[in-house]
This record gives sequence, structure tokens and C-alpha cells, in this order.
Amino acid sequence: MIERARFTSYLADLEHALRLMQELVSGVRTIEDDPTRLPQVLSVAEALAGQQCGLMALPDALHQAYGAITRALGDVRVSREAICVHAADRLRRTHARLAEVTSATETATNRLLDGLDAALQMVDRLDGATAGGGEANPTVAEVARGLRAQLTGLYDILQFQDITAQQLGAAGDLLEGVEQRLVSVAALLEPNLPAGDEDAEPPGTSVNDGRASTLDAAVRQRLADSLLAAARPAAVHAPGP
Amino acid sequence: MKCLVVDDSATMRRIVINSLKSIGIAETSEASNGAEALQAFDGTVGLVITDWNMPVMGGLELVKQLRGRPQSAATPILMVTTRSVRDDIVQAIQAGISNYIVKPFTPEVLKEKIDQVLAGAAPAA
Repeated sequence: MIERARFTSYLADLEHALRLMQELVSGVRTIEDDPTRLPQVLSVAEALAGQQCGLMALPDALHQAYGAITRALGDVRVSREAICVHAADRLRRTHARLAEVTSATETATNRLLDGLDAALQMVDRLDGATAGGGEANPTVAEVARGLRAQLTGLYDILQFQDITAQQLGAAGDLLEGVEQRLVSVAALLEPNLPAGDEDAEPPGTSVNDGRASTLDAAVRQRLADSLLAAARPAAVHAPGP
Repeated sequence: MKCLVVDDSATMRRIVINSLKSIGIAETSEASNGAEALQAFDGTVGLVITDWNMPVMGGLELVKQLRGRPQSAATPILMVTTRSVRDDIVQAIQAGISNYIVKPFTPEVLKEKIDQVLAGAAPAA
């Protein structure tokens, strides 16, 4: 790597040489009118010749600098490719897989719901048949009631799909955000690349609740109940709109 | 009494509607976001059950819009949502919900909250 001090020195030499050159050109123009100035002009020419010693090294230094810049650009290109291929692309694939899992669980849940609907209809028929058969059979009615309760309970368990879909959706949104940022960084390294998906939702507009949970619903419900209870008396005493 | 069920998840709408059936509310209509719900709301709707996180128009905005209209200003609204941090609940109360149910819920909780709002249908705030 070429030191900055060396370049600063070369630039100072160049500036000085240009000043001497300007002085020499001005001097040469005056010799015709005033030949006595010839020695003075020659001394400027000698000074200029002496100045070249630093400037002679400049092409070599520039060549070295060009090599260093080319290597740095190569490194930048490798970094950009690493970001695009190894980071952004993997994130994109992971995001797509999460969406696939959500879709698969939704399809499976809907099939389960179809099955539960059919099972509940069968229980209804069983119940109806028992009731319509003259003397009701208490055992069958009891079994039907228990079965209906079990099936309804299974319905409620399937809420997990909505909750996990929101969790996965929030994780997907996060991945998408990171991917967009990585693409933006890669675009800084390679201006020809697009700077990211302009249609992407801005942060904070997601409809997925990343804090959605299947756990401790009763505890969270109690918090909601207590806040509602605290708000109600205030509403009673508050002046109307 | 007809209940309008608003949720962007078709699965959740089915689950809520089934729970409503199990507690004796058989007449329901559905909407997949707040904007659809505003269109679906008519004089026959006696109860609104809405999710919070939905595209196009979320549940919180829906509650505000319903409370701002004379025909729905006093309609009981139940928010059924995964959101359960204090600030969210307070925000929903201030918007004018009648009651709040945290997902996952049981039909017993749903019935209890519906009974509460139908007994004294005034909004919480």
C-alpha cells in the first residue's frame, strides 16, 4: 500500500514544478524584449530540471495505486457476492420456507376443521336418531354430548394455527427486512444493482403479531379483564360526548 | 341475534363461528378485514367480534369507525386477538371496545364475555 505521505509529497512537488513551469514560460516570453533576463530564465529552467527527481517516481506510484484500487474493488465485489448469494438469497429462501410452512399448516387445519364439521354433523344425526326413535336412549345421548364436547374442544385447539402463523409471519417480516437491508448494502458496493424491493412494506406495517403466543392465555386474559374493570367505572362517571 | 365475525384468517373465522354455535348463536356473517366489516355491517348485526391484526383495515380502526357511526355506536364489540400487552389493551379500551378476549380462548370465555357485553352493552371507555 502506498502511503498517503508519499502522495502528498508528490503532489507538492507537482505543484511546485507547475509554478516553475509557469515562471519559465513567462520568462521565455520576456527574453525577446529583454535579453538580459536570459540568466534568470535559465536558472528557473535548472530549478525545474532538478524538481523532476520526485516527479519521476510518480508514474510508478500511480501504477501501484491503481493495483491497490483494483484489488480493493475485487474484494468489494467478492463481499457483494457474498452478501447477495450467501446472506440475502438464503434469507429469501428461509422466508419462502416459512411461508410454505404457514400455508401447509393452514391447509391441514382447514382439512381438520372439515373433518370436525363432518364428525359434529354425525353426532347431531346420532342425537336426532336417538331422540326421534320414540323412547330416548340416555346412554347414546350422553355419549353424543360427550363426543360433541370433545370435538368442540378440538376446534379450539386449532387456534394454534392462527397464532403460529402470526409468529412465523412476524419472523418472515423480520427476515424480509434484513434481506432488504443487505440488498441495500450490496447496492452501495455495486451501483448497478437495484437498491432493494421498492414495493416492500415499510417497517411497522406488518399485520403479524410477533408476540403472539399459545401460552399463558389465562394470565393475559386476567390482565385484560382487570384493565376493562378499571376502565368501566370511569366510563360510567365520565361526561357523555 | 346476528354476529359479525371479522378476522383475516379463514381458520379463525370458522373456529369463532363454531364456538358461537356451541353457545347458541347460529346467525353469523363474516368479513376478512375492517373495511369489509364496515360494508357488511347492517341493522341486523347485534354483536361484532373482531381480530386486531388484519390487512387493509385493522380491528382497532374498525372499532373507531363503528363507534363514530350512529347505527353502530352502541353495538357491542368484542376484540379477539393475540395482542395482550397492557398498552394494546388500553388502546383498544380507549377506542371503544366492549370486551377483550385473548387468543387462544375457550368457548366458555367467549360465552362469558358475550353474556357480559349483552347484559350491559356500554363500551368500556
